[in-house]
Amino acid sequence: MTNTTDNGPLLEVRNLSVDFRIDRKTILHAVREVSFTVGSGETLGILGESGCGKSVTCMSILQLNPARTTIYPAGEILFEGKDLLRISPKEMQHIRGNRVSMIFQEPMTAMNPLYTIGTQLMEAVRLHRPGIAKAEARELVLEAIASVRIPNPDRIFDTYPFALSGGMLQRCMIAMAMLARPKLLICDEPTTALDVTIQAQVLELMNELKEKEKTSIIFVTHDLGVINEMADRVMVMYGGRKCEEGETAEVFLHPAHPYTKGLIASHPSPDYTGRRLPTIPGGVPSLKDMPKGCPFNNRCSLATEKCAGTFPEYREISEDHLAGCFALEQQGENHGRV
Amino acid sequence: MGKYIIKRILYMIPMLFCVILVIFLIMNLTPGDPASNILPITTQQSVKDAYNASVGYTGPLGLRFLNYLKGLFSGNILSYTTRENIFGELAIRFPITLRVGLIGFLLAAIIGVSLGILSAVKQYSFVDTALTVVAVFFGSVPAFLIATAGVLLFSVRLGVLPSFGLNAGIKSYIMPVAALTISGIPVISRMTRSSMLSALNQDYIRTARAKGCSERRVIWNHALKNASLPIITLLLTGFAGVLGGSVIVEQIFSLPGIGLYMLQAMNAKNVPVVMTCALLLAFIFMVAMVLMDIFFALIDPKIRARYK
Amino acid sequence: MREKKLKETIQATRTRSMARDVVKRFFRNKAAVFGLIVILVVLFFIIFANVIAPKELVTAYDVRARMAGPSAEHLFGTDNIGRDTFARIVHGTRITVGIGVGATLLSLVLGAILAAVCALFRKADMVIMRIVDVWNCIPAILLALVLLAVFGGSVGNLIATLAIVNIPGFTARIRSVLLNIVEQDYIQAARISGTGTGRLVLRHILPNAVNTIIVDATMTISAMMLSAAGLSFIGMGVSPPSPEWGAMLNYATEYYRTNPMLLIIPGAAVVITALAINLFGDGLRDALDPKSLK
Repeated sequence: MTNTTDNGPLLEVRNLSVDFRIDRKTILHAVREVSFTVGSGETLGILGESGCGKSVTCMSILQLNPARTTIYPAGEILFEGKDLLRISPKEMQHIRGNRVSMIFQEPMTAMNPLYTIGTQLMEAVRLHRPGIAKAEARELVLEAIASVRIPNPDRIFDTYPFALSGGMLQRCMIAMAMLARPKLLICDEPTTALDVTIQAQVLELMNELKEKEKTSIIFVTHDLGVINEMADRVMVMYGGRKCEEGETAEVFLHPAHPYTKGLIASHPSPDYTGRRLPTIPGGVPSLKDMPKGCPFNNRCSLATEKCAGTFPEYREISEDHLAGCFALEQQGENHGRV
Repeated sequence: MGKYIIKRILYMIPMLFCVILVIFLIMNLTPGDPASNILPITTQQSVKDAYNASVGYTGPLGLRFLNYLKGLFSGNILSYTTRENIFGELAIRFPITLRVGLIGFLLAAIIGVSLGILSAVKQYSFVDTALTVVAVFFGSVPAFLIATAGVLLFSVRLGVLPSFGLNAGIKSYIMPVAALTISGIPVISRMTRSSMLSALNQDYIRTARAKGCSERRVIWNHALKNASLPIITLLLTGFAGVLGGSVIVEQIFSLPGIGLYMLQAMNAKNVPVVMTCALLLAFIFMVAMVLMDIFFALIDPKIRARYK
Repeated sequence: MREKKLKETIQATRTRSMARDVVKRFFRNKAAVFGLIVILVVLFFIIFANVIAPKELVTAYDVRARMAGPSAEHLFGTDNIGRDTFARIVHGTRITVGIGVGATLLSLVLGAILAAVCALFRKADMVIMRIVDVWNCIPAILLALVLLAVFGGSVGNLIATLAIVNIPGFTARIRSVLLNIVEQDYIQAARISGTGTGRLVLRHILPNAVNTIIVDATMTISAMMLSAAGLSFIGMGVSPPSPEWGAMLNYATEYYRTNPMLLIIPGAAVVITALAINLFGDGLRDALDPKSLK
């Protein structure tokens, strides 16, 4: 069924760009030339402030950006050897919820308010296994609900979304996403809208499922702590560009890009003693007035004229650790860590 | 739920009572009387008084109202002009109004909802723009002008459809029904389009797509059901409105329905007929409102839970 | 002191630039601009009716030209007794559009007062809404016809009747707009900081409700105008010698065969005016609230 080799990446995104057409004259560049891979059983964290293009990147994988306005001017999204940007809608439907699943930020609105949890999970089963008997599908659904550690699956089965809390609903969403045992699970800020205690429970649950099912995960968040807990590798995005990518520990311990450094510096560490935390001056520019060249150049202390011209080539800082910044060049070939 | 519906139905009784009371007061407390409206202007006042007394347009208001209620419950209310039972007349006339109104309304509902869905699904496409333009235009053309234009074209110019009456079988119904249908579609289609669009923008639509639903399934199973509450509201209030609005169409095409009956009764100050017609129309309106509550509860579990 | 002045300047600039944005968005919408132009023409007719066509022409008949087609002398032709259709249409604008505007304003003011009372006082709300319920149950057209039948179809009666029929709708809609706003955080904040009821309504609630109500009222004008023409058409509104457009149509039905122009011209006048008002209203709504779904 697939033509991937075992050692090749499960998902390979090459040079992906995403544009939004606002009206006849205006085209906004949401994502620029982003490349990354996700290996089998690996968790990739995508880190960035809101509006940096991380959600759009994820939505592109399953083609969930608004169809009417989204343009994919360049790039490939290779999953199990197929380019997801160029397959038919029918093939895409077969992949969605089956080979690749997705869960979203707002659990309270992500479920259809007019159907019970059971009905919506049953739909997910029967979409991909059209012949399955109703009783068997129900069995599967109840199992899935139990597997996300919800007590009384039977009762939840017949409950409507409005009667459940955000944490419960997000568990149900996870159960639904895992029903078909997908190869890849995309999580778009799944815990942002939840209370901190619930957040910890959900993350623990996801780690558990990942161990059990060997699912690859793309985990989008703006929370460094969550990335630290979840991700094997991390990709930092800013202004629609990838600025740095590498193993989580490596990137967090030796950040190379000024933006990554800023992010990490502004995050309180355990030995934080109450000094004022450093911040990155300015705010994320809107898509309408994104600076030319490196999008970070108007907030960066190391910016030169060069930065306003083009985006730099990515340089290898160490093995499997890339960053795109002109400042790295000036530091010399062997002295990557600024 | 059942309890709530029974409560709603019981609530209809005082409401209907208020409706006929209001109509009764307007008809009785205003200048003019049946005799002056019907008999020749030169008629002597004594003759007029005798006439008014004979039909029951005399005496204290309370008594007159009680007499009406008595007639209502015994199923025998006499018309001032014909001195015959109104219910017999209604039994002949109401089916005509209902036929024209119901067919016209159903066609408008089916066509309007379909076009609205089409417009929403193909938002900003050529089809959507064209439908919107046509809907905006016809939304500004009242039923009576559509009917007039129809008469001008199909009766006067082409001579294929009758301009009045019910003597040509099915052909007699075509223009009255079409006038109601065409004037009903724009409102329904625009409303459907906007509620479909707001449903299609919800997060759960993205979830449905993400789990592998086909676009058809997304539209019919997920979006339409959520968009249906405002559409049902519009359709049910619209239906009651169509029956009321039949007056104009019936007048233009001289159809012997209750609209025309009511109009003649108003001009003749035929109080019991006007009251009975008002009662009938208000009753239909209130039944439509109860139906709406039932539909809402059937569709939305949150509303259903409130009734438990 | 200086700070206050600065604040006011900022506030003024903000309001001005918001207004400019609304105007800019409105003029980008071609259909809405068309509507505005037609409305301006209609207003021109209303204000300068006597200059465009002397009032005598409405009733004066030209015996030499009965049922004449369009000509330089009679732009839209004449009717069966030789009255100039153009002059009648121009003067009819005052009546038909006047009824639409008059009925809308009257019902808007009364409806808004009732709605404001509802939104501010719990007990009054209960009572008023029950009355509105009953009012709503009487089919609008039946109520209108009953009132017109007993009081007669003069222009004033038509305005009053249409307003009476329309008040419950306005009351319910404005009430829900107001209640929606009353529940917003910034109103709660104003209340907590001790703002009085009158000031609350004038400074905080009204400005925020106004947009929705303006659009609603605009659309109501065209609906009222169409209703007025329709009632006159079936002989229950203004009667034929008057150049009210519906009355002109009513009169013209006798000449279906011989002079269809008599139908077509007032019919077109009604449709074009209603269309223009609707397009203007649509454009206004989109310009005031760019986020709204059309």
